[in-house]
Amino acid sequence: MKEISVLIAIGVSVALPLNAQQNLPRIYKSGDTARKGSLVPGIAAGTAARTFVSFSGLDTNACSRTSPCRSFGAALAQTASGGTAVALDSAGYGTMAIGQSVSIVAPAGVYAGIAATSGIAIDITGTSVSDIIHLRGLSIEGSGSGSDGIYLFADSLKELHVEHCTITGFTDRGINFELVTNTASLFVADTTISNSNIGIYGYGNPGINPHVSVDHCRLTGNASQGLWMDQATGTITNSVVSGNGTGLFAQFQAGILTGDQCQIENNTTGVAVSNSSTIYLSNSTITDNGTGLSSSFANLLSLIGDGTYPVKTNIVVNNGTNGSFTGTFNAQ
Amino acid sequence: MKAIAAASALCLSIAIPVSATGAARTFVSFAGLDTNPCSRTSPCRSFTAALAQTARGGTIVALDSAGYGTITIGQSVSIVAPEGVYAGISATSGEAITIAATTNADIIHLRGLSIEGSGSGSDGIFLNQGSLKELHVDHCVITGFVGTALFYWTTGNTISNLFVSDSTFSDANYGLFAYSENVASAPHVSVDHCRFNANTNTGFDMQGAAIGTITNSVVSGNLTGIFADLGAVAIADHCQVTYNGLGVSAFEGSTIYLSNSTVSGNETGILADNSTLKSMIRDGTYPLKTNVVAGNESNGAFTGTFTAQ
Repeated sequence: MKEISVLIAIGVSVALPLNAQQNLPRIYKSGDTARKGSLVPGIAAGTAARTFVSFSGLDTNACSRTSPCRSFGAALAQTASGGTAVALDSAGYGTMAIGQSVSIVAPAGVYAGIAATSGIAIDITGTSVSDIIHLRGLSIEGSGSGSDGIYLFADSLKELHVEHCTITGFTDRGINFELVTNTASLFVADTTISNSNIGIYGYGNPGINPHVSVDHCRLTGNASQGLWMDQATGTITNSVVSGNGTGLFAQFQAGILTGDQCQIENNTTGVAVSNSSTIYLSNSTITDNGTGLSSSFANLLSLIGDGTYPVKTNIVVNNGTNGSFTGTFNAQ
Repeated sequence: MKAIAAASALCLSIAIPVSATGAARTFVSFAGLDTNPCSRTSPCRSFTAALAQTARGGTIVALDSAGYGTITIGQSVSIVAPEGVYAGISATSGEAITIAATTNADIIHLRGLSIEGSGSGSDGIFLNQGSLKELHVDHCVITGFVGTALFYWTTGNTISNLFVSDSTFSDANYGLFAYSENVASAPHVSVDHCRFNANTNTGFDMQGAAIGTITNSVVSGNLTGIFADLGAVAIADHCQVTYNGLGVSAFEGSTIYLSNSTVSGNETGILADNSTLKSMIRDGTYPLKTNVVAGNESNGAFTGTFTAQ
């Protein structure tokens, strides 16, 4: 919310009438929200296709299986572009900046903590439009004072995959995914993002339209938004969005498609859409929110099975105010 | 630590837990010692010892499979057993995890724990007339308690959020029991992908001012499966409610909304007593209902419908 007012203030001198505001594209200017820079990626990609970290490792080691490193940061510097860094046993492995294609993996049975008591836990910076990053099995912790869990701002990227991670306790974003020059895709699965200000934030400069896919996730207890698509397109399925300020939020020509069985429960506002955005909602449970559905100069559409014999699928009950859809869309 | 204890003793009126200045991350291991600092190199043996060394909002990690003892939690903390590690908390009497002296700012995460009563422990997770901002329970198994697997009675002036996912509540007297006398302190409960099986009394039990939403879950073999009582509200979607005495039941001015669910093999499928129990229809003009209520000794009846949006 802070950003909206800042950006509108930058973009125009006074508030436009609402019907003009709705089509006002948002363009980031330098310094808008960038917090990156505290973490610096390794000087150059290493040569090993697979590197290892262990609690008993040393960062002066080669990060090999027999001589593992102690931190992900050191391992990353030894890992070839597109390689994999593996955690061998449970420990904290430190914050890091990622500037290359890489997979960072903690297998089941290993707790790999990345704690940021200030700043960013995982800063994606210096990447290019062809880079692909996988993060799997990580516990990313802000302890109420770190700013962001996974942070991409303005750098290019092809794909970011986040699976089986827990991201909690950040003063700003669980995942920040802001694309300015190229589009990119964010895939989040089987992941919990909680107790931050914003769970997942997706943004693209006009014409960029990054894609965000969320499945089997829990976005819980985030103060502002659970999932916020801002000039970005998102799909969220089979997920719980509960206890946030606003559960799902789309604005400025964003689109969110919510598929089967999202539980959107106990948010101040369950689903909100504004400024020419569109949210498609189907087979979802919107209950126990202060306001269930909210729209402003935007489309909030409910699935109907068929245009001739309309069959609706969303459960919107027991909210302080249920609110209403602005229209429907047909199943095919 | 000693200095802090001395300082708080001097303050007298304010009990400052020694843990408030502890480590952000502590560890327990089967090979640990409770006299250790609970660090990665010198882990503790029990969760209780680790908690005393953990800062507010910090994390306790189980390094390997073992039993780690019952625990009383009075601060924000995450207790984590990663997949592949069995972290047991057994109570052969009394409570396994007691939440006490927390405030409405505290947030607790419990992940990957096996909480066991062995048929004699009283309760699994026990918050009795206390305050808490949030409790997250994920990938836990809570079984074998003579009382309640998860007992959640909140008081005070702020609501409390309970998030439960991918967890099993079985073989207790009550599975998940949430209650508040007042709306101001009501527990708001989110349950997804859970199992409430073979509890002697109720499975998913909302009482008083509690409001619960349960989705994609199995509620089977309890005396009463999904229960709302004393004005509570429950919303259930995509649930399997089978082989209970009473499948879905609302009593004493309560409300239950049911959709896309299977209610079968119960003695009585649906029962409302001075309450509202509504079945979803997908459209008002061409009503299509979505619940399977069949194969119960007595199917029972809904009191009405609500329309999908």
